[in-house]
Amino acid sequence: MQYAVLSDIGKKRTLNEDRAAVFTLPNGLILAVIADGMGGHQGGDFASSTALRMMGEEFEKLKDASFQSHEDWAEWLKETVLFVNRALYNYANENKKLEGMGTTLEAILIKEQFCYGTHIGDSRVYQINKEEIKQITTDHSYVKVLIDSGEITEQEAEVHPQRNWIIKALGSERFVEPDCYSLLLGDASYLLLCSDGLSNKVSDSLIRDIVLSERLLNEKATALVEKANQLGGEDNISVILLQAPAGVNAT
Amino acid sequence: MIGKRIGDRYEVLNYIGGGGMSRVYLAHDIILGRDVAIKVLNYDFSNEEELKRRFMREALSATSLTHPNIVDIFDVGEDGNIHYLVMEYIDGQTLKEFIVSNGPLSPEEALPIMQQLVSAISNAHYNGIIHRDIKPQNILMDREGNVKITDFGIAMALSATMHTKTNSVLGTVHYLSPEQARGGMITKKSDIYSVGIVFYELLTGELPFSGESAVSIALKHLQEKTPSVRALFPSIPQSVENVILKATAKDTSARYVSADEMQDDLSTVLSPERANEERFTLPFDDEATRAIPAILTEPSIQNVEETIKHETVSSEPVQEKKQAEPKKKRKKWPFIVSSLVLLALLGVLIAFLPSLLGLKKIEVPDVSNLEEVEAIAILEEEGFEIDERIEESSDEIDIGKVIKTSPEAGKQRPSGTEITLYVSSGKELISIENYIGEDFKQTASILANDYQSIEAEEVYSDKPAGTIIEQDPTPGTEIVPSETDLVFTVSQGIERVTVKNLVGYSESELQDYEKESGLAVTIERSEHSNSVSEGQVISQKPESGTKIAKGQKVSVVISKGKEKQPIKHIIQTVTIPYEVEESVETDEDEGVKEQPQEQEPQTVRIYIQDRNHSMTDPSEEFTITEDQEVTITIELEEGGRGAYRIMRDNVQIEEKTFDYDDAE
Repeated sequence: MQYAVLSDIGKKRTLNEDRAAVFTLPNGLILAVIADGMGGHQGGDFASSTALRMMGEEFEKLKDASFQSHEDWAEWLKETVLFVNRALYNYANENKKLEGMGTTLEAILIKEQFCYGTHIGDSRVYQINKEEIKQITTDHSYVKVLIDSGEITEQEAEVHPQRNWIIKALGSERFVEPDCYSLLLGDASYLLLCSDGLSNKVSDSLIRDIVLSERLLNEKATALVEKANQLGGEDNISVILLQAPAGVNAT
Repeated sequence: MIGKRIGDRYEVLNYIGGGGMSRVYLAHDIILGRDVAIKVLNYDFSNEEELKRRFMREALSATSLTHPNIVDIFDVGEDGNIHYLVMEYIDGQTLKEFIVSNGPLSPEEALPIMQQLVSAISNAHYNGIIHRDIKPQNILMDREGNVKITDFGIAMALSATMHTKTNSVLGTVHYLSPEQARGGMITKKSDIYSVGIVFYELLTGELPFSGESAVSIALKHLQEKTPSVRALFPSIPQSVENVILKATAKDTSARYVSADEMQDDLSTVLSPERANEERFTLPFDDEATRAIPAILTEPSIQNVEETIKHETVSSEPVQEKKQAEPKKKRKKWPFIVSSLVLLALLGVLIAFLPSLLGLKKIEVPDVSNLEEVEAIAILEEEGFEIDERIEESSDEIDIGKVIKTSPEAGKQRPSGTEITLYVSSGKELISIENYIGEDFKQTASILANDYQSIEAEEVYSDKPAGTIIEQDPTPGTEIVPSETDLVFTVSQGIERVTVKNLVGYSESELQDYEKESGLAVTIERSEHSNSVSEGQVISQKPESGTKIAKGQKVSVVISKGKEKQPIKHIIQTVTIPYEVEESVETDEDEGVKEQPQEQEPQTVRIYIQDRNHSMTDPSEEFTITEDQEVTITIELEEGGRGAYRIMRDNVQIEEKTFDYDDAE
């Protein structure tokens, strides 16, 4: 498994509240995490960095784990996310300055070709195969609800003043219900985790073209971030691009 | 913060309050010697230069507003990393607090508040400033009951660029106009919508749209009709409800054109002439009229009525007319010119063509109402050719028969002319509109002439009475109206039940009543009662005879039976005399010393009757050789009777009886 991680401040912000990391263990387990923080003062920064750090710390404990079933891995991931949620929420409750903080969270646990994911907020996960790009996650955003209820079009959503409103966030409420999913990584296929700094700027088809272009994995990640910056770069931009090794069969 | 001096002139005295975005302090302006309110923003602008500039710009433009119902902004500034607004200090409460403690208000009480608010909004709009976040939390009320709107133009400034968890904006979405929810253009009419929602809240003490999350509330603003205040309080005049319905129309074009128009409407809303006003209804939209072509004229009649009704205040319809007329004129001329040219050309053709070509002219036969095949046979026999067949719906001509030809019957045409046949496709099918949510009476009166029949089946529901909740055929079904029986399921409103007198009901009887009445009976608490026996209802809320909606709660107080009085103790000290023998008594002097040895012990038995003892067995038994004092304690419950009896050597020496009331 190859991967590239990049988190960029963008062109307008003076603070990067995004966090992105890929953790690995000697037993071959991989955890990819992207968090896009929210909340005034230092809240957003604190929320995303704490979520990332805690996910990493919990992942460390898996080095001797020997779960048998798929459910166990998926369960571990969900429980960990809920644990981090509680910790953040309690912290915000005790610290006035951090009140209202929260973060989006994409976390994918990868064991061989099996991927277990959890999703909260409006960061995204895409799967990109030989010719198609597929959005795996559904944005937990206000505008997405409006689109689904037929009130506005995708185009209107792109310029909606409240397009930054998210209806779920890690750490902002006592309980959160993450979306959970699992995937099989096909032969040489890609997984892309990104914050909305990328997906609000760069179209799906352009993302696909860049990911499938003839470049090194690192250069592809850089190209994605550069594209978002070229198109305005109003927000922080984070990407994690993972590529399954060739020869793995997803059947 | 308190005790601090901001901007070298404002001494912070007290914390007044604050929301998520700001904190407000009472401060003293040492230069002008007056009290002011200082709003300190909680937001750290250090990373958001653009946002800061936008905020300062908007706040500064708001300082230009001067109106008795707008909180004055005196100054905008920054001191270190503190950003603040200096405002007029209002000693009072927010309108939200006022509604919570005083709502719902009568129309007479609410109207002066609304007039002040609309006047303020009108003034701001005149100055080109839209509030964007009118809500009772942003309206202050002083001790005299005057209201003042605060945060003009700045309220939404901070919300746009940050990631925000929607539930943190819950307070804002309750008053959000549909166009704001949709992310469309915010206009002055957005403020009119919000103030309409405030009017609703003043009159009912409730919010028209509520839900668990900001998103669900926002969707209701987009999709659900403003509920009727009269459904909750039938005493509210229709004219007052109409103001709310018009101000909160989803479509901005149906709302008041301006705050001024709303103000004019408010000024007469309680006048006796308007007591019997009809319910405000939205003019039909394009889609509705397109689908029901047969009644095109009726909505326009309705529109005329609308126009008359609002003649004094509305300028829109007049403008529409002005726009419409020139168009017609422009179109007329080319039409006349082109038809003149055509006529001339035709005349020339008719006059010269046949003679030029030497063709014989034949009259086109009338084939209407004939089967298509028949018609073609006749036409071909006459020497015409069939060019094209066009299917058209027709109410008069049966399916498959010819409606008309072109050129039409009776015309002289050379043989070989190509004839177009119009063949009936039967009666016109239309896709039936969705009337769910509409008012039944109104809908039925509009549709009455088009449908074979229209019926209403009334059912109870939580929708306002008279609202259509289902329809058969369902929306979108293709039908011929004149052959269709349209059946609407119409809400009768929530089923109301007259609450029975439940006093004396046992818990199992209550359960039966709950099932039979559809009300939810809850036991609020238990109390002692002297008149109602244990386990039965003492009192209820609401009282018997009250009509309430099914599913509503009736709370009852259950008797715990009589309250037990405390146990009382009667304590008596009795001296039991030792009865001295005759012989001793005679030889007194000598006998005194010898008495102890010579004394025969006498047996004393004490019998007690109380809550612990009965007289059957002695409670105490002992012997005495001299006078002895004993203390007898009698425990009595309420209503209990007690007694004691003292026996000495089987002779009763004392007996006494007591009532509970004898005790202290």
